[in-house]
Amino acid sequence: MKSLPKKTLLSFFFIFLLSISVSAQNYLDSLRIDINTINSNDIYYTLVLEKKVDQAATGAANTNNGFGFSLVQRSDKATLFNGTFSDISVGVWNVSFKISLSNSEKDLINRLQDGEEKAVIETTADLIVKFTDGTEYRFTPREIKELSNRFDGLNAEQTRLLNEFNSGRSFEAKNNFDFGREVNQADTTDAEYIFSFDVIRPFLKIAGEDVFFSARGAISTDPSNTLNQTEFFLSYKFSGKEKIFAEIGRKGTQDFSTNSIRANLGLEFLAPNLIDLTNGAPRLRLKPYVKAGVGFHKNFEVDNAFNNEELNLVGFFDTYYYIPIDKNLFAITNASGSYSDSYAGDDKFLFQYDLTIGYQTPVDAKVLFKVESGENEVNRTSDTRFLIGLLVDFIK
Amino acid sequence: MSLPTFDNALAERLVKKALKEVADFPDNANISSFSFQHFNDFHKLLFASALKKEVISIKDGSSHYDVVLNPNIINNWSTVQDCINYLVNNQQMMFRNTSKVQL
Repeated sequence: MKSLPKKTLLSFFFIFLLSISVSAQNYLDSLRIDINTINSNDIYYTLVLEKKVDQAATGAANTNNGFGFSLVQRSDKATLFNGTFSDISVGVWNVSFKISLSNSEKDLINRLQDGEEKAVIETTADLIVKFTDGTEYRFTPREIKELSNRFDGLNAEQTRLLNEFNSGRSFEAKNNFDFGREVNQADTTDAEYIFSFDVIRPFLKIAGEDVFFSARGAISTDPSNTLNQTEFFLSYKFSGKEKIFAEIGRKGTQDFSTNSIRANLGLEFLAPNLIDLTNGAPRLRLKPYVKAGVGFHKNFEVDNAFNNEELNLVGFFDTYYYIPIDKNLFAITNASGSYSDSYAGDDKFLFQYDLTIGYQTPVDAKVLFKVESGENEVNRTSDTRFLIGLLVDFIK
Repeated sequence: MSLPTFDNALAERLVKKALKEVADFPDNANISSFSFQHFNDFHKLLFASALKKEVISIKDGSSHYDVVLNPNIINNWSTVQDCINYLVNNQQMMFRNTSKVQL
């Protein structure tokens, strides 16, 4: 029998591929990659479907032993992940292949980035989707492999989230900036401007865990104000015990004339609500946030709270408390304190706080008044300042 | 194996339970208008973790629910109603069926 020419065979092959695409395309709306970083790190290769899903099953004789899927690197055929039917998630409009990542599989994230070499999904049996209109579609292993080849891969933001945040650390990174106008108490016709910042970013990895760099503080056009302090810290949260942290860094004044080194070990937790000022109004009363621990503090100058250059043991706390008042008002207080037997003088307890009074609208909050006061532990000076009438959006 | 879907009322109950981890409010309060604006990062983390656990704990036979959550999704919610809507629209079912499926 005369064999078919190569060209004809090639045409048949392309027609076959086209027919796969066209038939699956009738049911497929789009392809999407979703990522979860809460309680676990997971990547979902999602087929978004044209019709509402009613049922999902497999043509395999047994769903667990007869159906499996693998994420396979296209070039070297290396298997990156093996899943079962239990790793198929079905939504109202979609079917997803869930790739669960453990800490030991972090390299996988980088391999699945967009622009890197692609991985495809291979299944051992058909995946059948029944729709609410009574129709169904049977995705064959060949179709799924062909479709999975069209996924773009993880985008830059997804890669960043998965790489930077292990379970339980998802909200660590932030970039908060605030700008305010200060009342000059010596001359009320004069004004000073304050810029405050709170930035946390992943910095390096130790034993596979992220170490974060943080910069916090406030600087103003009045550099002599002792409330203007800056802090630069490296912090580490113990794996599996996200509430326990260790950090080391520099604390000091805005102009760097006074500096100290601080190493802390502590715990973060939410405390029970202490007061209820809602007067019965149905407001959300957040539990106060507390960060407390012990630290070692060393100053570079002798003219300071400790009046020495020794390594001093300090107990400390930081709190954040949002207090709704009546129907529309609120107070927010950030307070911090520290205690050390080594503090110079009789007063062994230092305390700083700020208090914001604001008005809550349905869409945002307006600051009416803010006061900052306290004694800092670097040079033991105290100050108070008031910010009024800002009426700007608060915490966007 | 039919795909059950949870409705607004169940989603609201789950969110309410998760909110109780980080806040106090009257049991009969209409939570949908509550704002996430004053949550700090730690509140968000505990709330998100509790919400994920609540969703996964909802079982239907040998299957359970799931939902995709990450900081970008959560930071997009302005009010609790946004959260409830997200759960209803993005709920997933994870199957745990070992029996033979006939089609």
